[in-house]
Amino acid sequence: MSGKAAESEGASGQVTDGASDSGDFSGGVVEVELAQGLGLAEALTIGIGTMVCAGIFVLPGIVIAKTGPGALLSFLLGGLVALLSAMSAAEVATGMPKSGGGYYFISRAMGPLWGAIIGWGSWFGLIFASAFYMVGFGEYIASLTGIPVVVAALVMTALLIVLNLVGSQVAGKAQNLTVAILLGSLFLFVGRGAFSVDLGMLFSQRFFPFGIGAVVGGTATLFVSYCGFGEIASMAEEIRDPGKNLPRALLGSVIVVTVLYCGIIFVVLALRPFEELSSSTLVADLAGDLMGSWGRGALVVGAVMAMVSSANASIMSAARISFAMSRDRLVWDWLNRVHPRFRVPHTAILLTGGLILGCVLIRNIELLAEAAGLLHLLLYALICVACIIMRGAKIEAYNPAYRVPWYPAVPILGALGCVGVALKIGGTVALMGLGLIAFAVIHYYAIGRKTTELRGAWPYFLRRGILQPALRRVERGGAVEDEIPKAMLAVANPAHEPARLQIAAGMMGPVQGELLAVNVFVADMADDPRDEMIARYYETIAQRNRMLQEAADVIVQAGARVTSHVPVAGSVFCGLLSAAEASGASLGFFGWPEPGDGYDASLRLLGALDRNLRAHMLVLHEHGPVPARNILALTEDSIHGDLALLCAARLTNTWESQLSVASLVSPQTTHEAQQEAEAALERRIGDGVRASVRMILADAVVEAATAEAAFTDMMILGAPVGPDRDLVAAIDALSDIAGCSIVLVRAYDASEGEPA
Amino acid sequence: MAREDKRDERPPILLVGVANPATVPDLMGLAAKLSAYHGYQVVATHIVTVPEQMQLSAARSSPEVAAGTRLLQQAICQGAEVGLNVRGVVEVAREVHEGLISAVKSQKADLMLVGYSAADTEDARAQARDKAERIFDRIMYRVARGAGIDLIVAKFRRLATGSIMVPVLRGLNLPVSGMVLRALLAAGDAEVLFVRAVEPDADIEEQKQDLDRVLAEHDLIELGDAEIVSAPDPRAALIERASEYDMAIIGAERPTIVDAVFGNIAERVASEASCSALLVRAARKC
Repeated sequence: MSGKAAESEGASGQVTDGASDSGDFSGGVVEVELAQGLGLAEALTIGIGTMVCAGIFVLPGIVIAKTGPGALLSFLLGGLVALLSAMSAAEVATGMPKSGGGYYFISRAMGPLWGAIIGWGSWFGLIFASAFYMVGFGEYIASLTGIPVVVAALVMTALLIVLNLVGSQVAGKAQNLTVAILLGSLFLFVGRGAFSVDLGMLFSQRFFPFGIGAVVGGTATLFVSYCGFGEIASMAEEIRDPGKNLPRALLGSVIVVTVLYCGIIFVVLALRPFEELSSSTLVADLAGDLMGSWGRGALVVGAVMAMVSSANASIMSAARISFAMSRDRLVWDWLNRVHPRFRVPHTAILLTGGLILGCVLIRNIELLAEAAGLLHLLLYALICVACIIMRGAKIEAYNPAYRVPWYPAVPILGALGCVGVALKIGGTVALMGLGLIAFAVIHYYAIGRKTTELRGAWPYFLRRGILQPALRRVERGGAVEDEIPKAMLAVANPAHEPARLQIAAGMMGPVQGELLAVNVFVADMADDPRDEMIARYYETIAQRNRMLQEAADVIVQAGARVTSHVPVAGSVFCGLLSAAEASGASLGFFGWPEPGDGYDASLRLLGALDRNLRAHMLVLHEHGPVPARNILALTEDSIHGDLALLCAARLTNTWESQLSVASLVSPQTTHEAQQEAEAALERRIGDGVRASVRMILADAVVEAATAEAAFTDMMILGAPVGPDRDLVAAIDALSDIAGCSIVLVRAYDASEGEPA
Repeated sequence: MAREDKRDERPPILLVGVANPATVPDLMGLAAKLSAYHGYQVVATHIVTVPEQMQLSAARSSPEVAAGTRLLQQAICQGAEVGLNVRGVVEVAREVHEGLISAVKSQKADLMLVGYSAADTEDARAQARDKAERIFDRIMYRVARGAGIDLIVAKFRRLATGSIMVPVLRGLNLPVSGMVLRALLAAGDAEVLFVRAVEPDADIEEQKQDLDRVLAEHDLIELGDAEIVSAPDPRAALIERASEYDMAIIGAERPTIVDAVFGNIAERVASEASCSALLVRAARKC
């Protein structure tokens, strides 16, 4: 089999990312795969295990005291709001099955500012939730042993922090057992209680003694009991067949938990008049009355295990969120540190743990529950908004396996439901929430905005969903598509071309298509001795893979997705052409010919590609700063000009640069004609792109470009620009321009079947 | 077997677990022999574990994944040296067995080969005798249960495979032993001994007939000699006998409570004998 790799073109040396199809075997490839170890049952266990915890054991008494028998409706309303949010979460999670949960979806849909707000919100939401679980744990331990609540809570919190710091998965592993004990004992409680209920007593009471408003207020207090389904979404990349299992687990867990909660509250309310139901260990006390000491014991054991398990899950999630924010450069870098021995984000865990310990000292269980609930309500409301944005943005890469029915009514209702419930939370908690949001915004503008490269999909939503399409295709059925699902990037040496890699990444953006980084192994099939060629291939493949990995690292850091490929071909031209054809790339990025011995050969290569490549071409000449602060698009009314506009708009959007769009007019043109040309250019751009528009008085593009180079960081020109409409001639003519980067674009008109 | 049907449609896949650079050449050498005889396509995999406190995808840019990629590139190059066209997969998982099972499923593997590479000195072997060291350990039993494929755990001590001993008890794992044996014999001549160790009070003739029957069932009787060894301590006898050979191919059985105390035969041969050892386990119906 020796030499097969070298013989089969495009079969060797890739470093790719993601699942593979083993039916298409290609040796020499190294892939990175994420194990999908969670099935539907495990995902359901995570959701139910996180939700069924302190809430149902500690809060019923508090909620009943606030709402009376209407508490049943409070729990039902909480379940409905959670279900509507879970439907939206299921759509965005199957559209972007990445771990990170709500923070990931919202930051990718709504941009870094909202990402920062919800990142901080989720982080603190989990911190408050953990503190709530731990104080609940303390209440139960205090009722059993007399140990002070705060002492028990602090000790257990400290223990969980240490376990997480050393990377222990003991508490996580106990979750299956915990959920089994918990569900068994709670369903047993409902079943046994159903035989002892006094329906006459229940219906003889006023159902809403404190008014309907109190019911919604009760939902706000208890909503922390539904704050677990997001955990499933945050493990999305680990779930097998996420298209099916994610929605089933998300919706299933909310439905199971809602039915269980409502069953428990119904039994509780039908056992005693509501005035007698205000204990914080209400469910366990009633279980003792119904089933004796063993029944109470089973529920207490289940409750304590559940609280510990939920707190542990929340600490892990909080650490993951702060770590993810740090990787997106929205918070301090030091939160991104991984312990060399235990390989956990120890600084994130320590900070999270310290904050939980501080919150435990608050001890006010209702306040902690409402704070956690408020921040989760905000999170779920924004997930609903993210669902609307992602669907409306019509991004090709976003193709959810599950789609929310009755869109956009369901996500709108979900968002309104969350906001409506959240508005019932007032006083100290509301101030804390607003303070946290204000802090997140200030922190973002002070630190995150300068460092993050994260971009959201909302501009596409505004453009395609609400405003008129800004970068529409030219009226004459032009070739320039707004979508670029796959683009090819020829890589020679990433150490020498970081700017080009960043420009390519900036063009693709965070949620667009994928870059294919290509480095061709040239095998002279005719003259090279076969054995020598094969030996040379294996000698160089590791170095080529490393080089492509370096390039991929730069591109990923710049926020785009990338795979790499080392095609084997008789020439660089053949390798690039076959790679573009095989991958279906609709755009190719190429370097500008370097002055020196290889200049003519590079020009010939670009000329050959210009004549044969069935994809748009971008030839990049890096001279200015990247990301460019200001960009000039020098366009003409042609498909090349349209492509130049599209590229300029994308880079401007990614880098938040200043964009100027200009067209050439002859110095002899009348003032009226100039104004008409300017108006025509504005019409071509549309309303969705923020750009200054002007005319440049010059007879030739090269003359105008030379003059403008000193005033801009990057110039994007629609080629061909020379009188003979030839890409090579244009490159040759523009080669001497220094002082700014030049992106020369050549559009391919697919409708004509050959390069334009 | 069901796998035979799959082989009609596509070449079978051999998944080679790679963790230690020192074992890679031997693993690739064995993989090449299996591939040459049975037509396996070879996928090398390296498992990177990530604690639950971090997202799995965060590991993509970790030093561990980079090291795994380099290790797999080494495996690809060393595979090429022995004529193998190898593909590499870095599997990022919460636990090793989860990663191996996931790799088996995603690659649709038919056979898995992993190496065992603890220090192998006389002292280490003496320690293994004391500690009942596990080579085919809990991880591999979890993989066997979760992935449902044939498994080979290799402990390489000698380069040569000129003499091979195959202990046979019930023959549950003989399909895999036979497959490996055929591939090794196709790569070069070897003296093969199928052996069963029994206590002195056992009926030798009856045992010999049973051994021949088991070998015949698996079409192995022509591949070597069969012998019954009678000794007061059959385990010790097997270990002593194995040290006279270059390699032992032994079926791995789930350790019983007795094994936990006295050591499983396969584990003891692999740990204590001075020959190379292949612990094999055929897929069980779950």
